[in-house]
Amino acid sequence: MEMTDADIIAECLSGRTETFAELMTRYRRLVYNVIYNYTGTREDSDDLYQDVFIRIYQSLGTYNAAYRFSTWATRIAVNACFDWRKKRRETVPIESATEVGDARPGPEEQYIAEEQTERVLEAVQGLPDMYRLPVQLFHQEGLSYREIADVLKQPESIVKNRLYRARLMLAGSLNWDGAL
Amino acid sequence: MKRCGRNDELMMRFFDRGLGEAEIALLDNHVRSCGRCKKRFDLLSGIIGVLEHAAPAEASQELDESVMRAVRALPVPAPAPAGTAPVLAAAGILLALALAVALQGNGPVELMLAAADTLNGVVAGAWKTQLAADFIGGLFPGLAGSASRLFWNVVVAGAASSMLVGLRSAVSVLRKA
Repeated sequence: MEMTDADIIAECLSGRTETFAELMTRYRRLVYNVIYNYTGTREDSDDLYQDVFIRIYQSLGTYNAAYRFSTWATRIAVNACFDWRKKRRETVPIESATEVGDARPGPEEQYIAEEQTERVLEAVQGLPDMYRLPVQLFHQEGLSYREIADVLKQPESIVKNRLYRARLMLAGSLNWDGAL
Repeated sequence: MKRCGRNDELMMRFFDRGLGEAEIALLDNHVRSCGRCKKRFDLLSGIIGVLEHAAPAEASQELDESVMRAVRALPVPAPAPAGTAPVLAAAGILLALALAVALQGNGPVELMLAAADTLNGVVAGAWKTQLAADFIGGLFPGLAGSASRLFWNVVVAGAASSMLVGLRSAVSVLRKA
Protein backbone atom coordinates (compact mmCIF):
# COMPACT_ATOMS: atom_id res chain seq x y z
CA MET A 1 0.00 0.00 0.00
CA GLU A 2 1.33 3.41 -0.98
CA MET A 3 2.39 5.66 1.86
CA THR A 4 0.47 8.89 2.29
CA ASP A 5 2.32 12.20 2.43
CA ALA A 6 1.59 12.32 6.17
CA ASP A 7 3.17 8.86 6.60
CA ILE A 8 6.30 9.96 4.76
CA ILE A 9 6.57 13.11 6.86
CA ALA A 10 6.19 11.07 10.05
CA GLU A 11 8.97 8.76 8.82
CA CYS A 12 11.26 11.72 8.12
CA LEU A 13 10.55 13.21 11.54
CA SER A 14 11.40 9.91 13.18
CA GLY A 15 14.83 9.98 11.57
CA ARG A 16 14.32 7.92 8.40
CA THR A 17 15.68 10.64 6.19
CA GLU A 18 15.76 8.54 3.00
CA THR A 19 11.96 8.57 2.75
CA PHE A 20 12.21 12.27 1.90
CA ALA A 21 13.29 11.17 -1.58
CA GLU A 22 9.78 9.80 -2.14
CA LEU A 23 8.26 13.14 -1.22
CA MET A 24 10.59 14.82 -3.71
CA THR A 25 9.60 12.38 -6.41
CA ARG A 26 5.95 13.24 -5.89
CA TYR A 27 6.35 17.01 -5.94
CA ARG A 28 9.52 17.67 -7.92
CA ARG A 29 7.68 18.65 -11.09
CA LEU A 30 5.26 20.99 -9.28
CA VAL A 31 8.01 22.71 -7.30
CA TYR A 32 10.35 23.03 -10.26
CA ASN A 33 7.64 24.48 -12.50
CA VAL A 34 6.49 27.00 -9.94
CA ILE A 35 10.08 28.18 -9.67
CA TYR A 36 10.89 28.02 -13.36
CA ASN A 37 7.73 29.89 -14.34
CA TYR A 38 8.70 32.58 -11.87
CA THR A 39 12.40 32.96 -12.57
CA GLY A 40 12.35 32.09 -16.28
CA THR A 41 15.89 30.69 -16.26
CA ARG A 42 17.27 27.21 -15.74
CA GLU A 43 20.26 28.35 -13.75
CA ASP A 44 18.27 30.27 -11.16
CA SER A 45 15.61 27.56 -11.05
CA ASP A 46 18.17 24.85 -10.35
CA ASP A 47 19.62 26.78 -7.42
CA LEU A 48 16.22 27.68 -6.01
CA TYR A 49 14.90 24.15 -6.47
CA GLN A 50 17.55 22.74 -4.16
CA ASP A 51 17.05 25.56 -1.69
CA VAL A 52 13.27 25.02 -1.63
CA PHE A 53 13.46 21.29 -1.00
CA ILE A 54 15.97 21.83 1.78
CA ARG A 55 13.61 24.41 3.29
CA ILE A 56 10.75 21.95 2.95
CA TYR A 57 12.76 19.26 4.73
CA GLN A 58 13.78 21.59 7.54
CA SER A 59 10.19 22.76 7.98
CA LEU A 60 8.54 19.33 7.96
CA GLY A 61 7.91 19.64 11.68
CA THR A 62 5.69 22.66 11.09
CA TYR A 63 3.60 21.09 8.33
CA ASN A 64 -0.10 21.42 9.08
CA ALA A 65 -2.05 18.48 7.70
CA ALA A 66 -5.08 20.74 7.33
CA TYR A 67 -3.50 21.84 4.04
CA ARG A 68 -2.61 19.62 1.13
CA PHE A 69 1.11 19.02 0.99
CA SER A 70 1.21 20.40 -2.56
CA THR A 71 -0.27 23.69 -1.33
CA TRP A 72 2.20 23.92 1.52
CA ALA A 73 5.17 23.09 -0.71
CA THR A 74 4.00 25.61 -3.31
CA ARG A 75 3.79 28.28 -0.64
CA ILE A 76 7.38 27.60 0.38
CA ALA A 77 8.44 27.72 -3.27
CA VAL A 78 6.62 31.01 -3.87
CA ASN A 79 8.16 32.55 -0.74
CA ALA A 80 11.60 31.44 -1.92
CA CYS A 81 10.88 33.09 -5.27
CA PHE A 82 9.98 36.33 -3.50
CA ASP A 83 13.25 36.16 -1.56
CA TRP A 84 15.14 35.46 -4.79
CA ARG A 85 13.52 38.44 -6.50
CA LYS A 86 14.33 40.68 -3.55
CA LYS A 87 17.97 39.57 -3.52
CA ARG A 88 18.19 39.93 -7.27
CA ARG A 89 16.89 43.51 -7.12
CA GLU A 90 19.66 44.29 -4.68
CA THR A 91 22.44 42.80 -6.78
CA VAL A 92 21.49 42.83 -10.48
CA PRO A 93 21.13 45.90 -12.71
CA ILE A 94 17.55 46.40 -13.88
CA GLU A 95 18.42 46.01 -17.58
CA SER A 96 19.62 42.47 -17.20
CA ALA A 97 16.97 41.60 -14.62
CA THR A 98 14.30 42.07 -17.29
CA GLU A 99 15.77 39.41 -19.55
CA VAL A 100 13.69 36.29 -19.07
CA GLY A 101 13.41 32.88 -20.62
CA ASP A 102 15.87 30.43 -22.09
CA ALA A 103 16.51 30.19 -25.77
CA ARG A 104 14.38 27.20 -26.77
CA PRO A 105 15.37 26.28 -30.32
CA GLY A 106 13.10 23.73 -31.99
CA PRO A 107 12.40 22.22 -35.41
CA GLU A 108 11.70 24.76 -38.10
CA GLU A 109 8.12 23.60 -38.71
CA GLN A 110 7.31 24.36 -35.07
CA TYR A 111 8.78 27.80 -35.27
CA ILE A 112 5.52 29.77 -35.36
CA ALA A 113 3.93 27.79 -32.55
CA GLU A 114 7.05 28.12 -30.47
CA GLU A 115 7.25 31.82 -31.14
CA GLN A 116 3.64 32.20 -30.02
CA THR A 117 4.34 30.18 -26.89
CA GLU A 118 7.39 32.30 -26.21
CA ARG A 119 5.41 35.49 -26.57
CA VAL A 120 2.67 34.28 -24.23
CA LEU A 121 5.17 33.16 -21.61
CA GLU A 122 7.04 36.44 -21.89
CA ALA A 123 3.78 38.36 -21.51
CA VAL A 124 3.05 36.35 -18.35
CA GLN A 125 6.55 37.12 -17.07
CA GLY A 126 5.84 40.80 -17.66
CA LEU A 127 2.82 40.84 -15.35
CA PRO A 128 3.24 42.14 -11.80
CA ASP A 129 3.57 39.32 -9.23
CA MET A 130 0.08 39.87 -7.86
CA TYR A 131 -1.38 38.98 -11.28
CA ARG A 132 1.29 36.64 -12.54
CA LEU A 133 1.18 34.12 -9.70
CA PRO A 134 -2.58 33.41 -9.91
CA VAL A 135 -2.22 32.85 -13.69
CA GLN A 136 0.72 30.51 -13.29
CA LEU A 137 -0.68 28.59 -10.35
CA PHE A 138 -4.12 28.17 -11.92
CA HIS A 139 -3.34 27.60 -15.59
CA GLN A 140 0.11 26.08 -15.43
CA GLU A 141 0.11 24.20 -12.14
CA GLY A 142 -3.59 23.36 -11.99
CA LEU A 143 -4.18 24.62 -8.45
CA SER A 144 -7.74 25.47 -7.40
CA TYR A 145 -8.81 28.90 -6.20
CA ARG A 146 -8.85 27.61 -2.63
CA GLU A 147 -5.31 26.29 -2.93
CA ILE A 148 -4.03 29.50 -4.53
CA ALA A 149 -5.71 31.48 -1.75
CA ASP A 150 -3.86 29.32 0.79
CA VAL A 151 -0.54 29.71 -1.03
CA LEU A 152 -0.82 33.48 -1.41
CA LYS A 153 -2.64 34.04 1.88
CA GLN A 154 -5.33 36.02 0.13
CA PRO A 155 -9.11 35.56 0.10
CA GLU A 156 -10.45 33.51 -2.81
CA SER A 157 -12.42 36.50 -4.08
CA ILE A 158 -9.20 38.50 -4.48
CA VAL A 159 -7.46 35.60 -6.23
CA LYS A 160 -10.39 35.27 -8.61
CA ASN A 161 -10.50 38.99 -9.42
CA ARG A 162 -6.76 39.07 -10.00
CA LEU A 163 -6.90 36.08 -12.31
CA TYR A 164 -9.71 37.66 -14.34
CA ARG A 165 -7.81 40.90 -14.56
CA ALA A 166 -4.58 39.10 -15.47
CA ARG A 167 -6.29 37.32 -18.37
CA LEU A 168 -7.55 40.64 -19.70
CA MET A 169 -4.08 42.18 -19.29
CA LEU A 170 -2.59 39.29 -21.26
CA ALA A 171 -5.24 39.58 -23.93
CA GLY A 172 -4.51 43.30 -24.15
CA SER A 173 -0.76 42.84 -24.48
CA LEU A 174 -1.05 39.95 -26.98
CA ASN A 175 -3.75 41.52 -29.07
CA TRP A 176 -2.11 40.41 -32.31
CA ASP A 177 -4.93 41.28 -34.71
CA GLY A 178 -6.67 44.02 -32.77
CA ALA A 179 -9.32 41.62 -31.53
CA LEU A 180 -10.12 43.70 -28.47
CA MET B 1 -12.07 47.58 -23.21
CA LYS B 2 -15.78 47.37 -23.98
CA ARG B 3 -17.94 44.96 -22.04
CA CYS B 4 -20.62 42.65 -23.26
CA GLY B 5 -22.85 42.26 -20.25
CA ARG B 6 -23.08 38.93 -18.51
CA ASN B 7 -21.11 37.16 -21.22
CA ASP B 8 -17.78 38.61 -20.05
CA GLU B 9 -18.37 36.95 -16.70
CA LEU B 10 -19.52 33.72 -18.36
CA MET B 11 -16.39 33.69 -20.51
CA MET B 12 -14.14 34.02 -17.48
CA ARG B 13 -15.98 31.27 -15.67
CA PHE B 14 -15.66 29.11 -18.77
CA PHE B 15 -11.87 29.44 -18.53
CA ASP B 16 -12.19 28.59 -14.84
CA ARG B 17 -13.86 25.36 -16.01
CA GLY B 18 -16.75 26.45 -13.83
CA LEU B 19 -19.70 26.45 -16.26
CA GLY B 20 -22.47 23.88 -16.48
CA GLU B 21 -23.78 22.63 -19.81
CA ALA B 22 -26.64 25.14 -19.97
CA GLU B 23 -24.30 28.07 -19.39
CA ILE B 24 -21.82 26.79 -21.95
CA ALA B 25 -24.63 26.64 -24.50
CA LEU B 26 -25.61 30.20 -23.57
CA LEU B 27 -22.06 31.43 -24.03
CA ASP B 28 -21.67 29.47 -27.24
CA ASN B 29 -24.80 31.09 -28.69
CA HIS B 30 -23.59 34.52 -27.78
CA VAL B 31 -20.07 34.02 -29.13
CA ARG B 32 -21.49 32.83 -32.45
CA SER B 33 -23.57 35.95 -32.81
CA CYS B 34 -21.15 38.58 -31.43
CA GLY B 35 -18.04 39.23 -33.49
CA ARG B 36 -16.25 41.09 -30.71
CA CYS B 37 -16.81 38.34 -28.15
CA LYS B 38 -15.79 35.69 -30.68
CA LYS B 39 -12.46 37.45 -31.23
CA ARG B 40 -11.94 37.83 -27.52
CA PHE B 41 -12.87 34.22 -26.86
CA ASP B 42 -10.49 32.97 -29.54
CA LEU B 43 -7.66 35.16 -28.26
CA LEU B 44 -8.13 34.06 -24.64
CA SER B 45 -8.48 30.41 -25.72
CA GLY B 46 -5.19 30.68 -27.57
CA ILE B 47 -3.38 32.27 -24.62
CA ILE B 48 -4.76 29.86 -22.04
CA GLY B 49 -4.18 26.90 -24.35
CA VAL B 50 -0.52 27.88 -24.63
CA LEU B 51 -0.22 28.21 -20.85
CA GLU B 52 -1.96 24.93 -20.07
CA HIS B 53 -0.13 22.92 -22.69
CA ALA B 54 3.34 24.41 -22.47
CA ALA B 55 5.76 21.57 -21.82
CA PRO B 56 6.49 21.41 -18.10
CA ALA B 57 10.06 22.02 -17.06
CA GLU B 58 11.89 19.12 -15.42
CA ALA B 59 14.52 19.23 -12.74
CA SER B 60 17.51 17.03 -13.46
CA GLN B 61 18.08 13.90 -11.40
CA GLU B 62 21.40 15.35 -10.23
CA LEU B 63 19.53 18.11 -8.43
CA ASP B 64 17.52 15.58 -6.45
CA GLU B 65 20.68 13.73 -5.52
CA SER B 66 22.27 16.99 -4.46
CA VAL B 67 19.26 17.78 -2.25
CA MET B 68 19.39 14.33 -0.67
CA ARG B 69 23.09 14.74 0.09
CA ALA B 70 22.32 18.03 1.84
CA VAL B 71 19.36 16.51 3.67
CA ARG B 72 21.47 13.63 5.00
CA ALA B 73 23.88 16.15 6.48
CA LEU B 74 21.10 18.03 8.27
CA PRO B 75 19.73 17.22 11.72
CA VAL B 76 16.34 15.50 11.78
CA PRO B 77 13.70 18.24 11.85
CA ALA B 78 11.87 18.49 15.14
CA PRO B 79 8.11 18.94 15.40
CA ALA B 80 7.35 22.61 16.03
CA PRO B 81 6.49 23.47 19.62
CA ALA B 82 2.94 24.60 20.14
CA GLY B 83 2.52 28.36 19.76
CA THR B 84 2.68 30.44 22.91
CA ALA B 85 -0.34 32.61 22.08
CA PRO B 86 -3.04 29.97 22.71
CA VAL B 87 -1.30 28.95 25.92
CA LEU B 88 -1.15 32.54 27.15
CA ALA B 89 -4.75 33.17 26.16
CA ALA B 90 -5.90 30.02 27.96
CA ALA B 91 -3.82 30.99 31.00
CA GLY B 92 -5.43 34.42 30.99
CA ILE B 93 -8.92 32.99 30.87
CA LEU B 94 -8.17 30.47 33.61
CA LEU B 95 -6.58 33.11 35.81
CA ALA B 96 -9.55 35.42 35.39
CA LEU B 97 -11.94 32.58 36.18
CA ALA B 98 -9.91 31.50 39.18
CA LEU B 99 -9.91 35.00 40.62
CA ALA B 100 -13.60 35.38 39.98
CA VAL B 101 -14.33 32.03 41.60
CA ALA B 102 -12.20 33.09 44.57
CA LEU B 103 -14.63 35.92 45.19
CA GLN B 104 -17.20 33.87 46.99
CA GLY B 105 -20.75 35.11 46.92
CA ASN B 106 -20.54 37.30 43.85
CA GLY B 107 -22.86 35.20 41.77
CA PRO B 108 -22.64 33.73 38.28
CA VAL B 109 -23.29 37.00 36.45
CA GLU B 110 -20.06 38.65 37.57
CA LEU B 111 -18.21 35.42 36.92
CA MET B 112 -19.47 35.25 33.36
CA LEU B 113 -18.74 38.93 32.78
CA ALA B 114 -15.14 38.53 33.85
CA ALA B 115 -14.67 35.50 31.59
CA ALA B 116 -16.45 37.13 28.66
CA ASP B 117 -14.33 40.25 29.04
CA THR B 118 -11.18 38.19 28.72
CA LEU B 119 -12.46 36.13 25.82
CA ASN B 120 -13.58 39.27 24.04
CA GLY B 121 -10.13 40.80 24.39
CA VAL B 122 -8.40 37.74 22.95
CA VAL B 123 -10.75 37.25 20.01
CA ALA B 124 -10.97 40.93 19.06
CA GLY B 125 -7.19 41.33 19.27
CA ALA B 126 -6.56 38.28 17.09
CA TRP B 127 -9.18 39.29 14.54
CA LYS B 128 -7.94 42.85 14.17
CA THR B 129 -4.37 41.70 13.88
CA GLN B 130 -5.23 39.11 11.24
CA LEU B 131 -6.95 41.86 9.25
CA ALA B 132 -3.85 44.04 9.53
CA ALA B 133 -1.59 41.14 8.50
CA ASP B 134 -3.82 40.38 5.47
CA PHE B 135 -3.76 44.04 4.50
CA ILE B 136 0.01 44.23 4.69
CA GLY B 137 0.36 40.91 2.84
CA GLY B 138 -1.99 42.17 0.13
CA LEU B 139 -0.09 45.38 -0.40
CA PHE B 140 3.33 43.78 -0.24
CA PRO B 141 3.15 40.06 -1.02
CA GLY B 142 6.85 39.73 -0.26
CA LEU B 143 6.09 40.71 3.32
CA ALA B 144 3.43 38.04 3.77
CA GLY B 145 5.77 35.98 5.94
CA SER B 146 6.73 39.00 8.02
CA ALA B 147 3.08 39.97 8.33
CA SER B 148 2.33 36.48 9.59
CA ARG B 149 5.12 36.72 12.17
CA LEU B 150 3.80 40.14 13.13
CA PHE B 151 0.37 38.56 13.55
CA TRP B 152 1.62 36.00 16.05
CA ASN B 153 3.70 38.51 17.94
CA VAL B 154 0.75 40.82 18.31
CA VAL B 155 -1.51 37.92 19.29
CA VAL B 156 0.91 37.10 22.07
CA ALA B 157 0.83 40.73 23.15
CA GLY B 158 -2.98 40.68 22.84
CA ALA B 159 -3.20 37.59 25.01
CA ALA B 160 -1.04 39.22 27.69
CA SER B 161 -3.19 42.31 27.49
CA SER B 162 -6.31 40.18 27.82
CA MET B 163 -4.98 38.70 31.02
CA LEU B 164 -4.76 42.20 32.41
CA VAL B 165 -8.33 42.90 31.29
CA GLY B 166 -9.43 39.75 33.08
CA LEU B 167 -7.58 40.77 36.21
CA ARG B 168 -9.12 44.22 36.07
CA SER B 169 -12.59 42.68 35.84
CA ALA B 170 -11.86 40.44 38.77
CA VAL B 171 -10.57 43.32 40.87
CA SER B 172 -13.64 45.32 39.99
CA VAL B 173 -15.84 42.46 41.19
CA LEU B 174 -13.74 42.25 44.35
CA ARG B 175 -14.17 45.94 45.07
CA LYS B 176 -17.90 45.72 44.63
CA ALA B 177 -17.89 42.88 47.14
